[in-house]
Amino acid sequence: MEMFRSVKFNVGLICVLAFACGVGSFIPQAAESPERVEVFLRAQPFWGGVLEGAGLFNVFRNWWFFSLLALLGFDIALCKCLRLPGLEPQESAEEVAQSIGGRPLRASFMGGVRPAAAAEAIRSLLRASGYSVRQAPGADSDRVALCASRHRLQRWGSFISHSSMVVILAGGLVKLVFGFQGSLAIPEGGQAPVPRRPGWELAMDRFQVEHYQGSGSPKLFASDLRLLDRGRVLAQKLIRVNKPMVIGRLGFYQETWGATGAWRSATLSSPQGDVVLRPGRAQALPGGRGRVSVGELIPDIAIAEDGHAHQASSEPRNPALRVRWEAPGQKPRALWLLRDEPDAAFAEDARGVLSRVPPPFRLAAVDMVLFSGIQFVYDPGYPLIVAGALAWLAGMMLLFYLHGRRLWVLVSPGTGQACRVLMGGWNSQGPVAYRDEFEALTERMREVSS
Amino acid sequence: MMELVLFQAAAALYTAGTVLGFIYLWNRGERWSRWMYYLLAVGVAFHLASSGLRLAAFWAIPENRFFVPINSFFGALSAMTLAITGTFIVVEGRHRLGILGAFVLPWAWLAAAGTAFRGYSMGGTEIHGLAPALQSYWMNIHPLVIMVSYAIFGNAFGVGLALLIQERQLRSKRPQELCYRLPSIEELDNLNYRLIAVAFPILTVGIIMGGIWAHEAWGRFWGWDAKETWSLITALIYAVFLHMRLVAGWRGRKAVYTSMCGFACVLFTFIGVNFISQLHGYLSAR
Repeated sequence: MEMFRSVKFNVGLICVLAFACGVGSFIPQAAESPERVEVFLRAQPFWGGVLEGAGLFNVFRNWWFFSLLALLGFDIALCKCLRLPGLEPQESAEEVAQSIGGRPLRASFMGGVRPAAAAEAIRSLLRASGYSVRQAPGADSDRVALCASRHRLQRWGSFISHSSMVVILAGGLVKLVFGFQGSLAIPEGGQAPVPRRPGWELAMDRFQVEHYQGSGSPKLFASDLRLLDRGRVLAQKLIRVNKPMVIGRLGFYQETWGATGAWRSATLSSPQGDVVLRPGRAQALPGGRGRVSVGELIPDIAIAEDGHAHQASSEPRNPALRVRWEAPGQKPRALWLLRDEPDAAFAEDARGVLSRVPPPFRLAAVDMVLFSGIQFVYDPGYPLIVAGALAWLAGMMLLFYLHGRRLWVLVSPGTGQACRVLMGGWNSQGPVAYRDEFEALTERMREVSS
Repeated sequence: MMELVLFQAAAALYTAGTVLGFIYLWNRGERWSRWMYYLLAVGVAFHLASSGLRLAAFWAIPENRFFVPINSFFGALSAMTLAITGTFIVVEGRHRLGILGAFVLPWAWLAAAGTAFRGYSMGGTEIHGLAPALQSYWMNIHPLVIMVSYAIFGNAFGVGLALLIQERQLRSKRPQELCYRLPSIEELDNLNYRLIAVAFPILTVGIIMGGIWAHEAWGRFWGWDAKETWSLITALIYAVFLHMRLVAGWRGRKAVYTSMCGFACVLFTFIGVNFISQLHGYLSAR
């Protein structure tokens, strides 16, 4: 047990934790970026295998990392939570006399009055200076020992801040054991069952996305949600990032969005006129240029090295439609039209290889069916974490921003009517920060006891 | 562009203030210290004027209204410059060491030079619309609190550097003039501790605020992204410093080396992490 309570062990444990965190930040983590882990494993099969075997692709969800956190919590509980600062024994006059010698700040002087009178004067002075003063038990009629302190709450800072860390870790443990989370991708107008809540369904009536002009980056994405319990509406809210819908401790958060690959309509434009296409229907082009029908939509098209079309992401960054064009007197052709590059079109051959051709018509607009990525989280440990965080804040304030000061004064008989005063001082912010005040107090004590 | 010109003027004044800080180190005439103060104060005024203009341009985008413009690298570096200079003025004004300018102001200068270079290379002061995740009142609190803590750690680093130099001087058989200009080891050691003791709670509170924001945005308090992880590492290293100083009684060089490790983590968290992760970075604004 002594080992667990030693500073060296605990500091070593903190260093190991910091090192493990550092390792986890440099090596791609499967939970955050599985695609980077895949790339690493393909590029470095040997080292990838070694890292995988050691669990380093999953540092923050690994048993040994949780063990380190658990050990930290156990150590803190052992070192701090079981040692209440208020339970320290009161010092006797003998102990005051002994402890003065070991204090970083010390002073002694001779007073001109009897010890009892000097002690009374010093006690009044210290009280007037904001100290709480008590007389140490065990003094005799000639010798008086005083213990004075200011901002005694400071002593609780260490206890509160360390204990709050245990509370925060406990909050994390509660989430780990009792909580759950996951993602739902719901298309506009669709609904999905909520896992672990039988009978509950989440319906997404409308999805809204707006972009900044110029950069094209999103400025708003929001989902109009309804939470249903066997058809009965439990909650309804337009959620967006930072504005979740929370019922009980189950929260629904706007996480991501994208295109489902489905579409409602597309507008083709040519000098002869525009034509609006609908899914599953072939449409005649104006000017007798034949018929077109749409086969496939890729929301974010990219052309691979082998010349095939593929989807770079689910976000509608560069939507492309594959149309089948039957021009009069010609074989049907498959063409890819890009909404954001109206001057480009790609013809697809029988092997699926794309080649750039002049666009016979342009894709002016496409109305895509979007999906909203909703994260659901049940976190019963969060209140504990917040309580721990607030306690941590209070503990830190007490520990570092309150200037705790303690004084020990021993007044004993001198020669004749005189007395001898010995005093020692301690403060929480180091002797340099207290020296001036200590010396000023010493001078005033000398004056009142002369 | 006016805000960039004003910032460049502020950066020039910070540079001059830093030079005067070094001159004061070698030629202890009080006028150098006084002029360093004056130049820094005027520099801060120019910087605030530049920030005011930038704020007006930032708020011209409706989604950005009433948020502070630190969602870009320019904005973050600019705020960091202001934070380091501001905390230096407070620390120096409180402790009157005079000598501290030569050890702390180079960091403010580096941040200012980085900001000016970023503005020059980007052709402006990087005004972007806020990403949806950043449109939260926490945007005005969490990053600023963290930056204040970084700035105070920067001051502590400067004090630690002065302590190491002073210790080296005292150990040498023939100490140079500098030895008599620098404060005592005890005074520097205490100031280093006091600054870290002030900054550490601010850092941890900033981290907790970030956790609460992350919970509001994504339903998780902690996600182990690189920025979060390195801010935790920074806090852990400074926790080691505080424990070793308060419990094991470390003083002087050993304590300063530990605090310097902490500051290296601060720098990595602020700058380096942007290059290993897209999330939570000023370069990606996500």
